[in-house]
Amino acid sequence: MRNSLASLRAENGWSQQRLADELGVSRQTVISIEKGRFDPSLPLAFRIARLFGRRIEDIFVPDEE
Amino acid sequence: MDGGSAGSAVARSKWGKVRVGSRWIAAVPPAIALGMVAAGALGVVGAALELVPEHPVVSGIAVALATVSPLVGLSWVLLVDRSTLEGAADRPEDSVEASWYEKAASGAFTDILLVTGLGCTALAFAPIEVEGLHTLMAVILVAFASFGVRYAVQRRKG
Repeated sequence: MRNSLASLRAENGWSQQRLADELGVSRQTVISIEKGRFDPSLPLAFRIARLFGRRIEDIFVPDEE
Repeated sequence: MDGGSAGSAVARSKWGKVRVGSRWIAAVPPAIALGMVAAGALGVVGAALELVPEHPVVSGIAVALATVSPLVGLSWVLLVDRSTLEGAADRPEDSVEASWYEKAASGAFTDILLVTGLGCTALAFAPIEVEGLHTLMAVILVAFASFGVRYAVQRRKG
């Protein structure tokens, strides 16, 4: 699954650690999501969407689309 | 869907805290106390079993001294609220490390079944006797090794 987490984070001027703290997860989790190596759980995806004021489908896009 | 955690409300510390009623206290003192009590109990058992018949008291003391450190460590692991440790994630279940752990544990379980199955088959035909203690130790070592390697591979993949 592709995502725009890195660009959204950059727009806010946040470090990976800052985003990890906001989401309550480890920095490695943010790194893995940004690289597309880890698909977040649904609750975490909702928290990410809420944090950036977007819908989940605005941030995460399935590979086949 | 959002669950609260102790770590978000309680000041975190290097060695964490444990909840006693409505209060939070440092986890180390009760861990030391519990570990020493458990080691003392094992020492009494060791003395009662007369592991060294000529010196039962000395053998009991030796057992207590040998087990106090690991039992204090084990007590801390069992008592401490992990969310009160410095650097702990508020929601570790959503972190990628939880995914690595799950995959490693699942793979290790399959490995144990495979190794013990093959081992049983081999021993059924081989003309050798194997002690139960050695067999169980080998199973534990296989489990540790399998989990460790699989977790390291998951971590490397990111």
